[in-house]
Amino acid sequence: MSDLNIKTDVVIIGAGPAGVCAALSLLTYSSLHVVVLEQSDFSQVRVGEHVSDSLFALLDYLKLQKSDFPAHCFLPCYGDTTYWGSDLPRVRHAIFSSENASVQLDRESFDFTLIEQLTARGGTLIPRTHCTVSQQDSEWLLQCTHPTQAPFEIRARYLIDASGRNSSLCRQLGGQSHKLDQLMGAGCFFSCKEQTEGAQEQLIESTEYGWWYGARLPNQQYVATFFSDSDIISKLRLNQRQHWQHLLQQSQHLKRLVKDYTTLSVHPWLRNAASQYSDASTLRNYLAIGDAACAFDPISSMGLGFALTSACHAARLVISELEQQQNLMQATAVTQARQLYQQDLHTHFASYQQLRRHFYQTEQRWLHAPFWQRRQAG
Amino acid sequence: MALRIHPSVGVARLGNSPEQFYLAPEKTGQLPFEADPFGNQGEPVHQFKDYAGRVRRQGQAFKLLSEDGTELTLDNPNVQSIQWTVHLANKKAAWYQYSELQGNLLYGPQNSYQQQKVPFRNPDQTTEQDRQKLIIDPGPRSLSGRRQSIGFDKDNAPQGYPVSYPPSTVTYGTAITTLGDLLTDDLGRLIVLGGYGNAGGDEPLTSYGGSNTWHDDISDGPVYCTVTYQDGSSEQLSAWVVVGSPDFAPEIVNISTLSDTMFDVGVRFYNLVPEIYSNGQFNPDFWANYQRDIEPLVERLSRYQWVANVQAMSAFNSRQFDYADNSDANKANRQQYFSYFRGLNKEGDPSADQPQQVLFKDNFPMLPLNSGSNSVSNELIMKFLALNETQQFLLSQWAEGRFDSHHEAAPYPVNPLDQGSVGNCVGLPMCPGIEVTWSMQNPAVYAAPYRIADEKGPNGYNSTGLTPSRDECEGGGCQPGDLTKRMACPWQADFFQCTVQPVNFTVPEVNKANGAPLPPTYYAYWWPPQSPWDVLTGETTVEGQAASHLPAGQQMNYARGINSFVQMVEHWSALAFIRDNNSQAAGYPYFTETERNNEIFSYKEVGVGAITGNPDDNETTIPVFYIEADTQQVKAKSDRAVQMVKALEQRAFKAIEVASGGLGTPRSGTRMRR
Repeated sequence: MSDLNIKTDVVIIGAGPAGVCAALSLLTYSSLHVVVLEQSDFSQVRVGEHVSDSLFALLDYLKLQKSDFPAHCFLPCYGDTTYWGSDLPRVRHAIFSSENASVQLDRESFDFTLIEQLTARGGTLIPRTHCTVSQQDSEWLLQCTHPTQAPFEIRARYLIDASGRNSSLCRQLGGQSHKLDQLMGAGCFFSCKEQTEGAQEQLIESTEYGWWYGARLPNQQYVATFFSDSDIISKLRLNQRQHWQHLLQQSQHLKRLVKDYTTLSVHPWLRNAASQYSDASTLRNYLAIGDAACAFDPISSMGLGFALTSACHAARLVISELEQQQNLMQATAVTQARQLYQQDLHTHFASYQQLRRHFYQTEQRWLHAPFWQRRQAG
Repeated sequence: MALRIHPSVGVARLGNSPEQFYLAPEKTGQLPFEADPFGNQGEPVHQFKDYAGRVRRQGQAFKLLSEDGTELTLDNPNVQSIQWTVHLANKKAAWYQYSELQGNLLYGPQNSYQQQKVPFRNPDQTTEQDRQKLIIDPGPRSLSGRRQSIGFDKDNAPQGYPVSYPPSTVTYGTAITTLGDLLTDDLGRLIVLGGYGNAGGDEPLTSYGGSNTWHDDISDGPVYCTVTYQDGSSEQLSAWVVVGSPDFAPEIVNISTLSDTMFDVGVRFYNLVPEIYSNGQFNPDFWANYQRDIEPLVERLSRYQWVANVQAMSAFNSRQFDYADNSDANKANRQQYFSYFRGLNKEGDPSADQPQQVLFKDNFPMLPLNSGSNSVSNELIMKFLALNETQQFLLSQWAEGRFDSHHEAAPYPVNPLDQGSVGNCVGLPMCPGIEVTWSMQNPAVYAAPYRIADEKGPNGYNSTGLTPSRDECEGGGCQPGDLTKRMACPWQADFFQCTVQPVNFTVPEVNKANGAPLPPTYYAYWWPPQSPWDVLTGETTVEGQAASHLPAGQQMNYARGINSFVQMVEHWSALAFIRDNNSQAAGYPYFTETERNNEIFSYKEVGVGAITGNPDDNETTIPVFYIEADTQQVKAKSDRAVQMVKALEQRAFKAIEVASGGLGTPRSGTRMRR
């Protein structure tokens, strides 16, 4: 057994925006000790995205100002076109956004700044760490492995699950999760040598089998992803390059955009993009946040905003549970707060389902194709 | 006949061109000069930048002149050798944080840095020894003969000198390895070249005063010359050199220049012109001269409009009457004109209710239309600018009619080269300023008019190095680095942030409330001739406009596309030089941007609807300029991820080791470090 063991109040699994914001919220509004674990080495490409400007109210709650981020982190949205519901170009948020104003977010700058703030406020973040979770003496016990360090243990009074859409942690621990669909993305990276003036930053184009999403990345790269249900993707064999390319050639607009680009991916990658909802209200001293709690269809642009709101709400709940645990009078209040949190998630997910239905109903051209048919039903 | 080095205070300027330089102008408002690689002076400058769009450094030539103006060079048969020694240093990181007028001893000894508890920059270094290491001190460098050169890098350090250079790796920007070079030209004159405009540090830049851990390659220091004659006798002379940021609009002159500051100090404290001022007062019978004393001021007011939106000042100064007419019939006009110049605060008087807190006379914003030396903090407020005392006095004599108007006015007893060099630097306001700051208003730093007092002389610091905390404004002479140590660190911070300032004009005691300028405010400029703000675009070719995305003659923001401090640190050399395109045809200047590196900026026309969400708003668009993320930066980004992981793990696993000894240590203090 290694000497390198940690005892902490709260352990957070996952250092995406949800996990880091939960940690920031805890560090800012309590004196709880917080450790964040992250599997990756942060080198994965982050696709920029549109977020509602209500993001700033959330950041304000975390005592973060716009000026704490690099200037290029938040830019006004531009160069977005959508071919959805018709072959005529439209501005994306005219169709998909329920908000008035939105900003284009540089995810890398955003995530990295949050991480810097986390350490500046006294949080501990350990990258490249995998763990198995169990419960022991009403504590969480995490057995961790790291590529260069000896195995070590973390004991924590509370576990926040920010492990994302693919995580099965909630189910392993006895919670429930419900999948709404089997949406997946199959994508490739391209290299685009010259930056053409006024080029599309993001493009969405619906087809019979699903929809394309193209986005410019910072390092003169471009990513194109096809979203459809997993059975359709598997039937079209989109995990193989020639079939994926063939489908791309059937697009009207995206194919023209990428025609001079060089493919960087040997094989298309596949990613889960299913809408799902987790219920962990039966688990004590555990909360799921972000994608681990509710995962949304990428068309909704709701993921990041939800990551932050759920993180802040969860942190408040954790603080009230841990800092007021001794007080029996408040025990019922805590239970009520837990139920309220789960109820909020539920309501939020229900309204998302409505929104999602609305998005897909805007597209009426392929009503008999399975992908669209599945999404028309009430 | 007495020999002296001129200019007495020279001004070199930074540039990032590795090889090319031009030479400093010799007169106020003059263009710099071309130079060959040895520093021999040529025609007025052709291009301010090199073939790769990098700004050429401005070298300062130093000459040996006798009082009658004859120059002494190596060509003089009586001369055996001319040896030059220069000691440049940068003390910024070791000095106090810039805190507007706090620390300025002109307000009395109780306003010292210690009494006002002004914190140091880099406060983690607490001992004198550690603070000395914050100084960039390459030690002195000497050279003699023709076509010689030597650099202020480590390799050329004098043996045994306790040199001090900042860390060779930095998180942001570029590490400093040298403060510049010395050359001699074909006649053995000295050319001083400053740094390359590099700046680097480990913390994000946060304020206009700069940030901890940062260094730049600005510097200043004494210039010594030993002339040895054939008969074996020799004499020793001295001067000073200041390295400033590039003068991006050399033909546009500040309303109150550093030469005006030095003249004012000379007049009032060193008996420079006893006819103007003696025994503690100005002489009301002094006869001013229009061409010498007034016209330069009128000219400066009229050229300001090319770098700033000062419609009021231009309208005011539009020659509604003949300014050169000293007749009684014209007196009412002159007095009316003069009455719109703001009165001066009483020097050293900290009380709030003073003339420089007042913006309007009647309903007109008074002149000069600039911020004063402290429109920022609530301590020692000086909201708006006034001329200096001597300038104001000369203008009042003009208003009274006590002036003549002929071209043969007796020159003041100052060498024209001494006036010309510092005449191109900011004299007012000083907050802190661009090249140097308010210490130049203090007679204690001078040995004589226009001559900086030198603390120790050549090789005075060979065993000790420089002192980090000594305040030369208490007297005793200046050390290398003392003239520039109060300036923003890095210089790009102040340059980028401070061109305009919204200044409250209703409450004399307050500039700011809750961290923001107290409303209502007035849009006042700092020093646009050095750091332009509103400029006309200048591309007149199809290709040029394809790159600039703008027609010629459109007024635009000068720094457009540079959107942060850090971008300014990296890309300052992309900014345009503002130049008179019509200088050949007398009397009708036409200033536009020239040599802007349009290539590095991308352009998008953004519909207002993109921000409001209302597609109808897209009928109106906003031009957006920004720096394209290039591959270089992307590389740096993934590096950043690598570095970040390294640092996080180092910290985490270190923390674990500590924690294993005793878990659950209570945490104290605040987590908020903002």
